[in-house]
Amino acid sequence: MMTRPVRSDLFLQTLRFSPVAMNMSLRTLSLALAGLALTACAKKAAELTPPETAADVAAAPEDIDALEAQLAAREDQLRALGAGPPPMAGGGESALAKREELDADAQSAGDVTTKKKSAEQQVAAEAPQPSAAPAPATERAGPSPVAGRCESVCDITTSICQLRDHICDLAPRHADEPRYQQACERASTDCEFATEACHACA
Amino acid sequence: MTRPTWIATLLGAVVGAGVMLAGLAQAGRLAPAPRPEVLVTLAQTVDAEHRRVDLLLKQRDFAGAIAALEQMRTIAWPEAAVAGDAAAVLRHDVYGRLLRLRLDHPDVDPKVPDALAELVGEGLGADYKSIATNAFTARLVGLRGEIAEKQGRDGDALLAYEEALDMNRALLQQALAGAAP
Repeated sequence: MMTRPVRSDLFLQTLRFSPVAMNMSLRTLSLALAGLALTACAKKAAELTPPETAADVAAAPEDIDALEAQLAAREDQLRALGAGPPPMAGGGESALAKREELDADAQSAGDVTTKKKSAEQQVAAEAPQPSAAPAPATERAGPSPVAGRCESVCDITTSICQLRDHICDLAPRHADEPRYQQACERASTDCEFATEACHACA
Repeated sequence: MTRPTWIATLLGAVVGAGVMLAGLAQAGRLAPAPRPEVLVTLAQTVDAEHRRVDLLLKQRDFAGAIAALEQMRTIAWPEAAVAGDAAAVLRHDVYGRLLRLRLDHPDVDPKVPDALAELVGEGLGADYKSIATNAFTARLVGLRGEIAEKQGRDGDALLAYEEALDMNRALLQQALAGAAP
Protein backbone atom coordinates (compact mmCIF):
# COMPACT_ATOMS: atom_id res chain seq x y z
CA MET A 1 0.00 0.00 0.00
CA MET A 2 2.83 2.37 0.86
CA THR A 3 4.38 1.90 -2.54
CA ARG A 4 1.54 3.52 -4.44
CA PRO A 5 2.34 7.19 -3.80
CA VAL A 6 6.08 6.52 -3.95
CA ARG A 7 5.82 5.05 -7.42
CA SER A 8 3.47 7.77 -8.46
CA ASP A 9 5.87 10.47 -7.25
CA LEU A 10 8.80 8.87 -9.00
CA PHE A 11 6.80 8.88 -12.18
CA LEU A 12 5.98 12.58 -11.84
CA GLN A 13 9.58 13.43 -11.05
CA THR A 14 10.70 11.55 -14.12
CA LEU A 15 8.34 13.52 -16.33
CA ARG A 16 9.07 16.93 -14.84
CA PHE A 17 12.76 16.95 -14.16
CA SER A 18 14.45 14.39 -16.35
CA PRO A 19 15.83 15.88 -19.53
CA VAL A 20 15.67 12.49 -21.15
CA ALA A 21 12.02 11.98 -20.41
CA MET A 22 11.20 11.94 -24.10
CA ASN A 23 13.69 9.16 -24.63
CA MET A 24 12.45 6.88 -21.90
CA SER A 25 13.25 3.26 -22.34
CA LEU A 26 10.45 0.79 -22.66
CA ARG A 27 11.07 -0.30 -19.09
CA THR A 28 10.74 3.24 -17.78
CA LEU A 29 7.57 3.71 -19.76
CA SER A 30 6.15 0.51 -18.34
CA LEU A 31 6.96 1.66 -14.84
CA ALA A 32 5.36 4.98 -15.53
CA LEU A 33 2.17 3.39 -16.81
CA ALA A 34 2.10 1.10 -13.82
CA GLY A 35 2.47 4.10 -11.56
CA LEU A 36 -0.42 5.83 -13.24
CA ALA A 37 -2.59 2.77 -12.96
CA LEU A 38 -1.76 2.37 -9.29
CA THR A 39 -2.52 6.02 -8.62
CA ALA A 40 -5.87 5.67 -10.34
CA CYS A 41 -6.61 2.54 -8.32
CA ALA A 42 -5.69 4.33 -5.11
CA LYS A 43 -8.04 7.17 -5.93
CA LYS A 44 -10.81 4.75 -6.81
CA ALA A 45 -10.24 2.85 -3.56
CA ALA A 46 -10.38 6.09 -1.62
CA GLU A 47 -13.72 6.88 -3.21
CA LEU A 48 -15.08 3.49 -2.25
CA THR A 49 -13.69 3.48 1.28
CA PRO A 50 -16.53 3.50 3.82
CA PRO A 51 -16.52 5.90 6.77
CA GLU A 52 -13.71 4.83 9.08
CA THR A 53 -15.46 5.20 12.39
CA ALA A 54 -18.89 4.78 13.85
CA ALA A 55 -18.72 8.47 14.64
CA ASP A 56 -18.44 9.22 10.94
CA VAL A 57 -21.54 7.16 10.34
CA ALA A 58 -23.44 8.76 13.16
CA ALA A 59 -22.42 12.21 12.02
CA ALA A 60 -23.77 11.69 8.54
CA PRO A 61 -26.91 9.61 8.64
CA GLU A 62 -27.84 10.86 5.20
CA ASP A 63 -24.95 8.81 3.85
CA ILE A 64 -27.17 5.79 3.73
CA ASP A 65 -27.48 6.26 -0.02
CA ALA A 66 -23.72 6.07 -0.33
CA LEU A 67 -23.69 2.94 1.78
CA GLU A 68 -26.36 1.37 -0.37
CA ALA A 69 -24.34 2.20 -3.46
CA GLN A 70 -21.27 0.71 -1.85
CA LEU A 71 -23.24 -2.35 -0.85
CA ALA A 72 -24.49 -2.79 -4.39
CA ALA A 73 -20.92 -2.60 -5.66
CA ARG A 74 -19.79 -5.20 -3.14
CA GLU A 75 -22.66 -7.45 -4.09
CA ASP A 76 -21.70 -7.11 -7.73
CA GLN A 77 -18.20 -8.16 -6.78
CA LEU A 78 -19.59 -11.12 -4.88
CA ARG A 79 -21.69 -12.12 -7.88
CA ALA A 80 -18.65 -11.90 -10.07
CA LEU A 81 -16.89 -14.23 -7.68
CA GLY A 82 -19.71 -16.73 -7.78
CA ALA A 83 -21.77 -15.66 -4.78
CA GLY A 84 -24.25 -12.89 -4.44
CA PRO A 85 -27.82 -11.91 -3.75
CA PRO A 86 -30.57 -12.37 -6.26
CA PRO A 87 -31.85 -9.21 -7.96
CA MET A 88 -33.67 -6.90 -5.56
CA ALA A 89 -37.36 -7.62 -5.41
CA GLY A 90 -38.07 -4.19 -4.06
CA GLY A 91 -37.79 -5.33 -0.46
CA GLY A 92 -34.98 -3.02 0.40
CA GLU A 93 -36.37 0.11 -1.18
CA SER A 94 -39.88 -0.44 0.05
CA ALA A 95 -38.59 -1.04 3.52
CA LEU A 96 -36.52 2.10 3.40
CA ALA A 97 -39.62 4.05 2.46
CA LYS A 98 -41.31 2.89 5.61
CA ARG A 99 -38.98 4.79 7.91
CA GLU A 100 -40.37 6.50 10.96
CA GLU A 101 -43.69 4.74 10.75
CA LEU A 102 -43.02 2.36 13.56
CA ASP A 103 -43.43 3.10 17.22
CA ALA A 104 -41.80 0.01 18.62
CA ASP A 105 -40.48 0.28 22.09
CA ALA A 106 -37.21 2.09 22.56
CA GLN A 107 -35.86 -0.41 25.04
CA SER A 108 -35.53 -3.06 22.40
CA ALA A 109 -34.17 -0.62 19.86
CA GLY A 110 -31.06 0.30 21.71
CA ASP A 111 -29.69 -3.18 22.04
CA VAL A 112 -28.57 -3.82 18.52
CA THR A 113 -27.23 -0.39 17.79
CA THR A 114 -25.09 -0.39 20.89
CA LYS A 115 -22.53 -3.05 20.21
CA LYS A 116 -19.98 -1.81 22.69
CA LYS A 117 -20.78 -1.39 26.35
CA SER A 118 -18.59 -0.36 29.16
CA ALA A 119 -17.67 -3.01 31.67
CA GLU A 120 -20.01 -1.52 34.25
CA GLN A 121 -22.92 -1.40 31.85
CA GLN A 122 -22.34 -4.96 30.79
CA VAL A 123 -22.28 -6.31 34.27
CA ALA A 124 -25.25 -4.17 35.21
CA ALA A 125 -27.01 -5.66 32.23
CA GLU A 126 -27.32 -8.98 34.01
CA ALA A 127 -31.00 -8.26 34.46
CA PRO A 128 -33.11 -9.75 31.66
CA GLN A 129 -32.96 -7.62 28.56
CA PRO A 130 -32.63 -8.18 24.84
CA SER A 131 -29.18 -9.39 24.05
CA ALA A 132 -26.78 -7.18 22.19
CA ALA A 133 -24.95 -8.27 19.08
CA PRO A 134 -21.43 -9.41 19.82
CA ALA A 135 -18.91 -6.84 18.69
CA PRO A 136 -17.35 -7.85 15.39
CA ALA A 137 -13.65 -8.59 15.42
CA THR A 138 -12.96 -5.46 13.39
CA GLU A 139 -14.42 -3.34 16.17
CA ARG A 140 -12.45 -5.14 18.82
CA ALA A 141 -9.19 -4.36 17.09
CA GLY A 142 -9.42 -0.71 18.13
CA PRO A 143 -8.53 -0.54 21.82
CA SER A 144 -5.25 -1.55 23.43
CA PRO A 145 -4.65 -5.28 23.98
CA VAL A 146 -5.55 -5.12 27.67
CA ALA A 147 -8.64 -2.99 27.08
CA GLY A 148 -9.63 -5.24 24.21
CA ARG A 149 -9.23 -8.31 26.37
CA CYS A 150 -11.30 -6.80 29.15
CA GLU A 151 -13.96 -5.80 26.66
CA SER A 152 -14.06 -9.38 25.41
CA VAL A 153 -14.29 -10.74 28.95
CA CYS A 154 -17.17 -8.39 29.77
CA ASP A 155 -18.95 -9.07 26.47
CA ILE A 156 -18.81 -12.77 27.20
CA THR A 157 -19.97 -12.13 30.76
CA THR A 158 -23.04 -10.40 29.41
CA SER A 159 -23.82 -13.36 27.16
CA ILE A 160 -23.29 -15.89 29.94
CA CYS A 161 -25.54 -14.02 32.35
CA GLN A 162 -28.27 -13.61 29.75
CA LEU A 163 -28.15 -17.35 29.13
CA ARG A 164 -28.37 -17.86 32.89
CA ASP A 165 -31.53 -15.77 32.89
CA HIS A 166 -33.09 -17.83 30.10
CA ILE A 167 -32.17 -21.12 31.76
CA CYS A 168 -33.37 -20.09 35.19
CA ASP A 169 -36.64 -18.80 33.72
CA LEU A 170 -37.27 -22.33 32.47
CA ALA A 171 -36.64 -23.98 35.83
CA PRO A 172 -39.89 -22.99 37.63
CA ARG A 173 -41.93 -24.41 34.76
CA HIS A 174 -40.23 -27.78 35.22
CA ALA A 175 -39.97 -28.09 38.96
CA ASP A 176 -40.35 -31.87 38.71
CA GLU A 177 -37.31 -32.21 36.42
CA PRO A 178 -34.06 -31.80 38.32
CA ARG A 179 -31.99 -31.14 35.20
CA TYR A 180 -33.54 -27.70 34.80
CA GLN A 181 -32.63 -26.69 38.33
CA GLN A 182 -29.16 -28.15 37.96
CA ALA A 183 -28.63 -26.25 34.73
CA CYS A 184 -29.80 -23.06 36.43
CA GLU A 185 -27.36 -23.53 39.29
CA ARG A 186 -24.51 -24.24 36.93
CA ALA A 187 -25.32 -21.22 34.80
CA SER A 188 -25.56 -19.05 37.90
CA THR A 189 -22.10 -20.17 38.97
CA ASP A 190 -20.77 -19.38 35.50
CA CYS A 191 -22.38 -15.94 35.59
CA GLU A 192 -20.89 -15.17 38.99
CA PHE A 193 -17.44 -16.30 37.94
CA ALA A 194 -17.58 -14.30 34.71
CA THR A 195 -18.85 -11.22 36.52
CA GLU A 196 -15.95 -11.40 38.94
CA ALA A 197 -13.53 -11.78 36.04
CA CYS A 198 -15.06 -8.75 34.33
CA HIS A 199 -14.86 -6.66 37.49
CA ALA A 200 -11.30 -7.72 38.14
CA CYS A 201 -10.34 -6.89 34.58
CA ALA A 202 -12.09 -3.56 34.37
CA MET B 1 -8.17 12.85 7.04
CA THR B 2 -4.80 13.70 5.52
CA ARG B 3 -3.23 11.35 3.05
CA PRO B 4 -0.39 10.10 5.34
CA THR B 5 -2.91 9.43 8.12
CA TRP B 6 -5.16 7.62 5.71
CA ILE B 7 -2.31 5.51 4.45
CA ALA B 8 -1.12 4.73 7.97
CA THR B 9 -4.64 3.76 9.01
CA LEU B 10 -5.10 1.55 5.98
CA LEU B 11 -1.70 -0.05 6.42
CA GLY B 12 -2.43 -0.67 10.08
CA ALA B 13 -5.75 -2.27 9.26
CA VAL B 14 -4.24 -4.51 6.60
CA VAL B 15 -1.31 -5.57 8.76
CA GLY B 16 -3.58 -6.11 11.76
CA ALA B 17 -6.03 -8.21 9.79
CA GLY B 18 -3.20 -10.19 8.26
CA VAL B 19 -1.57 -10.90 11.60
CA MET B 20 -4.91 -11.89 13.13
CA LEU B 21 -5.81 -14.27 10.32
CA ALA B 22 -2.30 -15.71 10.21
CA GLY B 23 -2.41 -16.25 13.97
CA LEU B 24 -5.76 -17.96 13.84
CA ALA B 25 -4.69 -20.11 10.92
CA GLN B 26 -1.43 -21.08 12.63
CA ALA B 27 -3.33 -21.94 15.77
CA GLY B 28 -5.54 -24.17 13.66
CA ARG B 29 -8.64 -22.35 14.83
CA LEU B 30 -9.90 -21.34 11.41
CA ALA B 31 -9.78 -23.35 8.25
CA PRO B 32 -7.94 -21.28 5.65
CA ALA B 33 -9.78 -19.78 2.71
CA PRO B 34 -8.79 -21.46 -0.53
CA ARG B 35 -10.08 -18.36 -2.32
CA PRO B 36 -9.28 -15.46 0.00
CA GLU B 37 -10.63 -12.91 -2.48
CA VAL B 38 -14.11 -14.36 -1.97
CA LEU B 39 -13.77 -14.08 1.80
CA VAL B 40 -12.47 -10.51 1.61
CA THR B 41 -15.30 -9.41 -0.66
CA LEU B 42 -17.84 -11.18 1.51
CA ALA B 43 -16.46 -9.50 4.63
CA GLN B 44 -16.62 -6.09 2.97
CA THR B 45 -20.19 -6.73 1.88
CA VAL B 46 -21.24 -7.83 5.36
CA ASP B 47 -19.52 -4.81 6.88
CA ALA B 48 -21.31 -2.43 4.53
CA GLU B 49 -24.62 -4.13 5.32
CA HIS B 50 -24.05 -3.82 9.05
CA ARG B 51 -23.31 -0.12 8.66
CA ARG B 52 -26.50 0.32 6.72
CA VAL B 53 -28.47 -1.56 9.36
CA ASP B 54 -26.87 0.62 12.04
CA LEU B 55 -28.18 3.70 10.26
CA LEU B 56 -31.64 2.24 9.78
CA LEU B 57 -31.86 1.34 13.44
CA LYS B 58 -30.69 4.80 14.39
CA GLN B 59 -33.69 6.05 12.43
CA ARG B 60 -35.84 3.46 14.23
CA ASP B 61 -36.58 1.85 10.90
CA PHE B 62 -36.80 -1.69 12.21
CA ALA B 63 -38.68 -2.91 9.14
CA GLY B 64 -35.94 -1.53 6.93
CA ALA B 65 -33.23 -3.12 9.04
CA ILE B 66 -34.97 -6.49 8.96
CA ALA B 67 -35.52 -6.22 5.21
CA ALA B 68 -31.86 -5.33 4.67
CA LEU B 69 -30.68 -8.33 6.64
CA GLU B 70 -33.22 -10.56 4.89
CA GLN B 71 -31.76 -9.38 1.60
CA MET B 72 -28.27 -10.16 2.86
CA ARG B 73 -29.47 -13.58 3.95
CA THR B 74 -30.40 -14.50 0.41
CA ILE B 75 -26.90 -14.28 -1.00
CA ALA B 76 -25.28 -17.51 -2.08
CA TRP B 77 -23.06 -17.84 0.98
CA PRO B 78 -19.79 -19.42 -0.08
CA GLU B 79 -18.97 -22.85 1.27
CA ALA B 80 -16.15 -23.36 3.73
CA ALA B 81 -14.30 -25.17 0.97
CA VAL B 82 -14.25 -21.90 -0.98
CA ALA B 83 -13.97 -19.17 1.63
CA GLY B 84 -12.92 -21.02 4.79
CA ASP B 85 -14.66 -21.18 8.15
CA ALA B 86 -14.64 -17.40 8.47
CA ALA B 87 -17.40 -17.23 5.86
CA ALA B 88 -19.64 -19.33 8.09
CA VAL B 89 -18.84 -17.08 11.04
CA LEU B 90 -19.88 -14.05 8.98
CA ARG B 91 -23.11 -15.83 8.09
CA HIS B 92 -23.77 -16.57 11.74
CA ASP B 93 -23.27 -12.88 12.48
CA VAL B 94 -25.84 -11.78 9.89
CA TYR B 95 -28.41 -14.41 10.85
CA GLY B 96 -27.89 -13.68 14.53
CA ARG B 97 -28.55 -10.01 14.08
CA LEU B 98 -31.59 -10.71 11.92
CA LEU B 99 -33.09 -13.13 14.40
CA ARG B 100 -32.41 -10.82 17.34
CA LEU B 101 -34.32 -8.09 15.53
CA ARG B 102 -37.15 -10.43 14.64
CA LEU B 103 -37.48 -11.60 18.22
CA ASP B 104 -37.35 -8.07 19.59
CA HIS B 105 -39.84 -6.73 17.03
CA PRO B 106 -42.33 -9.52 16.48
CA ASP B 107 -44.90 -7.13 15.01
CA VAL B 108 -42.66 -6.22 12.08
CA ASP B 109 -43.19 -8.57 9.15
CA PRO B 110 -44.29 -11.29 11.62
CA LYS B 111 -42.95 -14.82 11.35
CA VAL B 112 -44.26 -17.81 13.23
CA PRO B 113 -41.82 -19.57 15.56
CA ASP B 114 -41.53 -22.52 13.19
CA ALA B 115 -40.33 -20.18 10.43
CA LEU B 116 -37.80 -18.65 12.80
CA ALA B 117 -36.60 -22.12 13.76
CA GLU B 118 -36.10 -22.88 10.08
CA LEU B 119 -34.20 -19.64 9.72
CA VAL B 120 -31.86 -20.40 12.59
CA GLY B 121 -31.18 -23.87 11.21
CA GLU B 122 -30.43 -22.39 7.81
CA GLY B 123 -28.06 -19.86 9.35
CA LEU B 124 -26.18 -22.31 11.51
CA GLY B 125 -25.75 -24.87 8.78
CA ALA B 126 -25.23 -28.56 9.28
CA ASP B 127 -21.63 -28.45 10.41
CA TYR B 128 -21.46 -25.44 12.70
CA LYS B 129 -20.04 -27.58 15.48
CA SER B 130 -16.89 -28.12 13.46
CA ILE B 131 -16.17 -24.38 13.40
CA ALA B 132 -13.86 -22.93 16.02
CA THR B 133 -15.80 -21.52 18.96
CA ASN B 134 -16.71 -17.90 18.41
CA ALA B 135 -19.14 -15.32 19.76
CA PHE B 136 -21.34 -15.18 16.66
CA THR B 137 -22.05 -18.90 16.53
CA ALA B 138 -22.63 -18.92 20.30
CA ARG B 139 -25.18 -16.12 19.94
CA LEU B 140 -27.02 -17.93 17.16
CA VAL B 141 -27.18 -21.13 19.19
CA GLY B 142 -28.59 -19.14 22.12
CA LEU B 143 -31.21 -17.66 19.80
CA ARG B 144 -32.12 -21.20 18.77
CA GLY B 145 -32.99 -21.73 22.42
CA GLU B 146 -35.21 -18.65 22.56
CA ILE B 147 -37.05 -19.79 19.45
CA ALA B 148 -37.46 -23.32 20.80
CA GLU B 149 -39.03 -21.78 23.90
CA LYS B 150 -41.50 -19.92 21.70
CA GLN B 151 -42.31 -23.22 20.04
CA GLY B 152 -43.05 -24.70 23.44
CA ARG B 153 -40.08 -27.04 23.22
CA ASP B 154 -38.48 -26.28 26.55
CA GLY B 155 -36.28 -29.37 26.48
CA ASP B 156 -34.69 -28.30 23.20
CA ALA B 157 -34.42 -24.76 24.50
CA LEU B 158 -32.49 -25.95 27.53
CA LEU B 159 -30.14 -27.96 25.33
CA ALA B 160 -29.50 -24.96 23.09
CA TYR B 161 -28.92 -22.63 26.05
CA GLU B 162 -26.50 -25.07 27.59
CA GLU B 163 -24.67 -25.47 24.30
CA ALA B 164 -24.37 -21.71 23.98
CA LEU B 165 -23.24 -21.54 27.60
CA ASP B 166 -20.53 -24.10 26.94
CA MET B 167 -19.31 -22.03 23.99
CA ASN B 168 -19.26 -18.86 26.04
CA ARG B 169 -17.45 -20.62 28.85
CA ALA B 170 -14.76 -21.68 26.38
CA LEU B 171 -14.60 -18.14 25.00
CA LEU B 172 -14.20 -16.77 28.50
CA GLN B 173 -11.32 -19.12 29.20
CA GLN B 174 -9.68 -18.04 25.96
CA ALA B 175 -10.20 -14.38 26.80
CA LEU B 176 -8.81 -14.81 30.29
CA ALA B 177 -5.80 -16.58 28.82
CA GLY B 178 -5.33 -13.60 26.54
CA ALA B 179 -6.24 -15.45 23.39
CA ALA B 180 -9.73 -14.21 22.74
CA PRO B 181 -10.74 -14.27 19.08
